[in-house]
Amino acid sequence: MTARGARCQNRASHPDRSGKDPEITQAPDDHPGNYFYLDLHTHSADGSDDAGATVEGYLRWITGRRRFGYRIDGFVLTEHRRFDPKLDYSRLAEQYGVAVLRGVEVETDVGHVLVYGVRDGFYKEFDLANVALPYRDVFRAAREHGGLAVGAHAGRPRIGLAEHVDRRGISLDGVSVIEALNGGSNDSENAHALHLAEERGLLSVGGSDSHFVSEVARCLTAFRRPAHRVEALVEELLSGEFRPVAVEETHDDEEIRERSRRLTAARSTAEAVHHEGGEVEYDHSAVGVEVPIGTAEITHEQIAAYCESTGDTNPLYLDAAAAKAGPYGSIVAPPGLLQALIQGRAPDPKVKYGNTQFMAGTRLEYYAPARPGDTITGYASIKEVYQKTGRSGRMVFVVSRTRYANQRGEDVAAHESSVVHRQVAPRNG
Amino acid sequence: MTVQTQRYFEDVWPGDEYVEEHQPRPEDVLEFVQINRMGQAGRGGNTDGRFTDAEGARRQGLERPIVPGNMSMALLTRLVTDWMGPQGRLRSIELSFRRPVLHNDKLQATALVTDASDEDGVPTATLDVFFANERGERPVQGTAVVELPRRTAAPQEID
Repeated sequence: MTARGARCQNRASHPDRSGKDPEITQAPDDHPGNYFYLDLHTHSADGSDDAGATVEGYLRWITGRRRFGYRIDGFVLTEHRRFDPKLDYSRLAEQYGVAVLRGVEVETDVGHVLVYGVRDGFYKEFDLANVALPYRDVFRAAREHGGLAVGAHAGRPRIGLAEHVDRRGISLDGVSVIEALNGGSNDSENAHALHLAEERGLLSVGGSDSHFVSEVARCLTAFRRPAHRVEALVEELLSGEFRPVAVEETHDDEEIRERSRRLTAARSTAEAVHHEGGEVEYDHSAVGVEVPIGTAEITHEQIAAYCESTGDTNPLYLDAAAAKAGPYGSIVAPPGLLQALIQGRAPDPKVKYGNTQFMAGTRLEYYAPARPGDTITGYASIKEVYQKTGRSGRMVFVVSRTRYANQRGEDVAAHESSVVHRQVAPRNG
Repeated sequence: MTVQTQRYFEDVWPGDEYVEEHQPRPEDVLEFVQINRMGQAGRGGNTDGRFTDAEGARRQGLERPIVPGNMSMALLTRLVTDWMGPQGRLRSIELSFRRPVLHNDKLQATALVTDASDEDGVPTATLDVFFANERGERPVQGTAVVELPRRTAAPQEID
């Protein structure tokens, strides 16, 4: 295998800083070289249902960013509702010279909470799959078990602390640190979190909340001392000597750092809604049963109409002469057409929650082209049903998988779709 | 306008960006919804109006009608197929819908190369793909994996 990242070095004058100590004694106090930068909030495909990034993908990306002058020392994997003690990234961390620590993001009755450095007893005390853990117990137990809990994306509606403080007046006893700079929150939400921190004398950290590779380390926390192990991270968080930063503030170039500081934010106007947890009720017998959901013959007319609606003028789909000279030898259907034409449903798991449904995620895999004249049949099944909480409150996810086979019985594509069931209130006006 | 420049593995680097601008108008969404209804065999699809009318959207707690997830998928798929060119092969695309995409949102669709390798002898690029809207949000984001042709034939090993 040839990793291409190494060749990026030719494209920038910044040296690769991995393995080199910054010149702390000669730098002014606010120079990026005086800090240790950790992204405290990341997700990967190893443990989070909605993440597409691999840990090695993050490491390669960070290596590339370093070559462009950004100081990124490591990240903490905080998978949703799951901590697998068997996973070990120490070899990868050493190979890339990037600290890879591990925590967990749990869901409580006041939003999501990041937990770092706890001993096994914490995981025995709580069922991490519970989406409404009692927050006071989580913050208390984290300290009792040698770690620390941090209010995640504190400015986001429903899943951040700030709204629960504003609307329900919850106590912040036991809460000392919140995430006031979160890469998945908008400016208004981060401003809301920062306001809470300032008003209540809380400390603030930064994390990217990355789910995909290029998001990692967009927001970080600058520490005064290195933290290559999670125990050291907890010590640094308890010391209070840290601050949230955008990645631009880690750059060697003062002009880039200054541009980042000028970013402004507005106040949040989000409304709070109390949400409840509990077991999700559904028909378990519907899971894993594959049924045919429809058949369609691919036509030139369907292809043309689909391309018209998406503004696609790709000659592989529309121009017979160009397609004949192309890689497939004739016109093929655009990749998304099968999902548009065959939309039957997998067996209904009859989820007893919510008054509406939205698409939450989708994955398409393509194995062979579909052509005009092909007859395609879809076969769908329910893969799983689970729940979690988001900015819109409690959410129940139904994941289905559809495979598409042609008239010769060959699978040409597969489609995995996650539909979220939610309870929504109508908007006024 | 679809771009038909061929992308070759040798020219692809982590950090490379490719951007298209979109602003899905109500009439574009309506047309897309009509295409989808071809495949719904009389089931009628989503009839609550969330994709097509303001009142239907409000009933669903939405500020404005939204762009269907399948249409966002189609636009980001097109971004990738435009980027890779006719000799490329889209192996997979995976998207996460994190916030609603509203009618008339100004969307910057970005494909960002995060890795390029010839693992198992197949030149492959991995891209983060996402929409960014004028509110500073990434309402839809994901990952695509594509196989790319080489500008020159792969070097042969000498025994």
